[in-house]
Amino acid sequence: MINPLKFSNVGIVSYGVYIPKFRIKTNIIAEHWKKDPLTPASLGVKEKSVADWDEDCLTMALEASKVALSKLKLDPKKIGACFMGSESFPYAVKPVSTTLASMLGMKNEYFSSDLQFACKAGTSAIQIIASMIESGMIDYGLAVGSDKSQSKPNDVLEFTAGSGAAAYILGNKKSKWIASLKQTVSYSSDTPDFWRREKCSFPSHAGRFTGVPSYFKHVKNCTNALLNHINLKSKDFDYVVFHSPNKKFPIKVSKQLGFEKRQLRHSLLVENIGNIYSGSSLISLANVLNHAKENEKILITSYGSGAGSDSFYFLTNKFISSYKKTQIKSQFKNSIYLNYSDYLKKMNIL
Amino acid sequence: MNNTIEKWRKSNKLNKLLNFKGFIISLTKIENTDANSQGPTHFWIALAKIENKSNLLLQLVNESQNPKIGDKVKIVLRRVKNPNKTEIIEYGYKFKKIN
Amino acid sequence: MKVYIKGGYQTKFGELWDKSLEDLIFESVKFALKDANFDIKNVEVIYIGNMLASQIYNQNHLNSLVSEIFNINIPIIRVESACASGSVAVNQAYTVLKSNLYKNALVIGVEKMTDIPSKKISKFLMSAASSSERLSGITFAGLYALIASKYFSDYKITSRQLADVSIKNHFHASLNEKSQFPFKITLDKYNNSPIIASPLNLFDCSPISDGACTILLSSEKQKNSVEIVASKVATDSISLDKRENICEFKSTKIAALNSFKEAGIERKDVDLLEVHDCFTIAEIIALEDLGFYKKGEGYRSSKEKDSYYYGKLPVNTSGGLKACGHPIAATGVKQVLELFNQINGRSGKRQVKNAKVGLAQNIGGTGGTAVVNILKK
Repeated sequence: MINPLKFSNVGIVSYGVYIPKFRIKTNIIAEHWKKDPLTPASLGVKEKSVADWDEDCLTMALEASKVALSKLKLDPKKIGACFMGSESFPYAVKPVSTTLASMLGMKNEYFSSDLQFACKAGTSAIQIIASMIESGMIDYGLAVGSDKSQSKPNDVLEFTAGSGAAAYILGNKKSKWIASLKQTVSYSSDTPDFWRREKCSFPSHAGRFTGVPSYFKHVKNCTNALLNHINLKSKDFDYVVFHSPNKKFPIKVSKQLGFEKRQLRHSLLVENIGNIYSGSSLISLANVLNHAKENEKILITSYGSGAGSDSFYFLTNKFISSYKKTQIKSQFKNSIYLNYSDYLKKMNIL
Repeated sequence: MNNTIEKWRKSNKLNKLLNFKGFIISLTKIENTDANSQGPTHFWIALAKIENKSNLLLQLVNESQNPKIGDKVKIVLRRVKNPNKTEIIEYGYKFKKIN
Repeated sequence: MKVYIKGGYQTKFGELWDKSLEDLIFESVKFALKDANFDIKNVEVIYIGNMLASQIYNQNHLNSLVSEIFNINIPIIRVESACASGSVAVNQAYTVLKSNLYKNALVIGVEKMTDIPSKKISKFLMSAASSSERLSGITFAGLYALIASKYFSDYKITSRQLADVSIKNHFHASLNEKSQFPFKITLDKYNNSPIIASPLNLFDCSPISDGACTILLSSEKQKNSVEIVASKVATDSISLDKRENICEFKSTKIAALNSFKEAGIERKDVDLLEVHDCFTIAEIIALEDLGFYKKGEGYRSSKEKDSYYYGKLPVNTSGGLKACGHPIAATGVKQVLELFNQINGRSGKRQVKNAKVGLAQNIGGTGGTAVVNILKK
């Protein structure tokens, strides 16, 4: 049972996105496995981003965080928390969030943890930091969703699992807010739709079970719970962002929830970068913020397998127009396209 | 062979030069990597003059294609080699071409 | 006190599968003493130069190893300065004789490198570079390739000029039965060889070799003694990126300046050179750093054929590191022995006419150490 808390002290003060330069077209993957190219076409993913052999969730988190910090005259020592969500942490035991904090120049007195909740680990980080700021424990916090998303060769996931990171700095200084956080809620259950066992390199999934009883159930219930708490309807929002495991699901769920296609604009980057697991919803949100004007309502619902969703209601502030936008679309230019074997080498599979 | 503590000592200093910019003063492509058990078999190494600092010799990231003497670069953080199953992952600086 | 070389011996350089490190030490010492007509019982001190035995064989304490091989108890000192180990050992022996602490000293330079895969050797060789250079993944060829790349850009030469150096050194090696590659090469062969680190190809790079070289130094002159009139060591930063100008080696310049001063001779008095051509570009730069050619013109030495044994200023009549071979610590001692043999008229088909004064330049790493030894009849 969640008490509907109206946040009054939390806003996004800066954000950054990093998407690697390399891409692989999904029809190249289909060709390699002699699969029907209609399969990736039906998922709505043309190509996905691929991190290089020497990149991982830390290096990408650092790139995104550096971008976020560069937009703000903020001494990193003032950041009181660093929470990072990923499905591709390189350690089963040893935090990466502290390495990130160290690289950014944060001093030692800060809250920190590595978070795991499939594709919603990044938004979980936002919730934790928002709570800490609202309660007065910290003034600023860094939330990151970063993944070098794994998928088994010759599995359908291979068409969509991409790489990238998004970093958000949240703070309590109203004058610095790009968007204030109004409300957040979560909806969770024990649903085994997608998982990765300890010591396994690749995740497994339950096929079509990942649809209605998993993604759709949680995204819809969570979004509706938020709308009830804040007493608003889907038509009241200027933008809506849903987690994008492919292009089909967010379009379908938004329709089912009564949102129009127009409200999804700027959030469907999945077509060109794939599903960046913990980074997915946060990257989409960043692109929306890049286009949003002052006083616009944004609803975002993430989804993490296993399963759960986090929903947020953000309201943009006047500072959004003067905020120097994070380069997202420019990271889509001059991409370097890979053949299949180079893709495997970069994913450290070969 | 680097030990864990030596890696830790080095990594504590890694925040100092991140994102610093410079330009390439010399370049070589390592083609025969008998010595290199670290990662790809062919890569560029650049010697660059760093703003307000002295020179630095670093590997270029793979996406920095066709580098030339005079190109602008910035310092980024990457893995320096493919780690084995048990060791601490080592990170270090590399150069990335910028416009 | 004057210091002379009384005799010496170089083993064959190459892939010597049936010879161990101890075998190489034994052979070179035995025949060096024979050449000098000297008994091991009378040797007062030994300096042994070696770089890689501790990494390849986990063998330190080479002093004690030599004691065991020859059943002697005299002071024996191991010297390590990367590729300059051999000449630093010569320098140390020279210095101790100059001080009159001893009357004679044996100098051994030995390296056994070919037992392990070249992948590993390249890694071990990087112990002569800095830790940040190792971390970058660069190889030694890569370090010198960076130097070559900058040199090409600054002085507008190309690989064509490097080819002249390699061709010349192979020509000399074809006249030296002790060399690793006793054959000539053509420009075609050079041009068709694979790139190791751009712009350097296989024929720009010295090989991995086994070998040993021993010389006997003495303060007593005899008939065929040749005097060491100068021996100077200088150093510079281990990291290439700490240098002001990577196209010159300050350490060579300083060692050369000091050794010419010590010897009381001028460059025009020098009849031949043995320089450190670990990579062809290094020979060109050495000739400039030693002051024999203007900056940017070192290439003329081989292009204009002055560096051939019959030319105006022969360079690397042994075949150099490239073609004679480069068992790391043996090289510096071999250079001095080559000068000794030339000055004594013992160089057969590659004999330099009227050789009286010879200069050897040996480098450690990318110029982190430089040694200049000058010999005079």
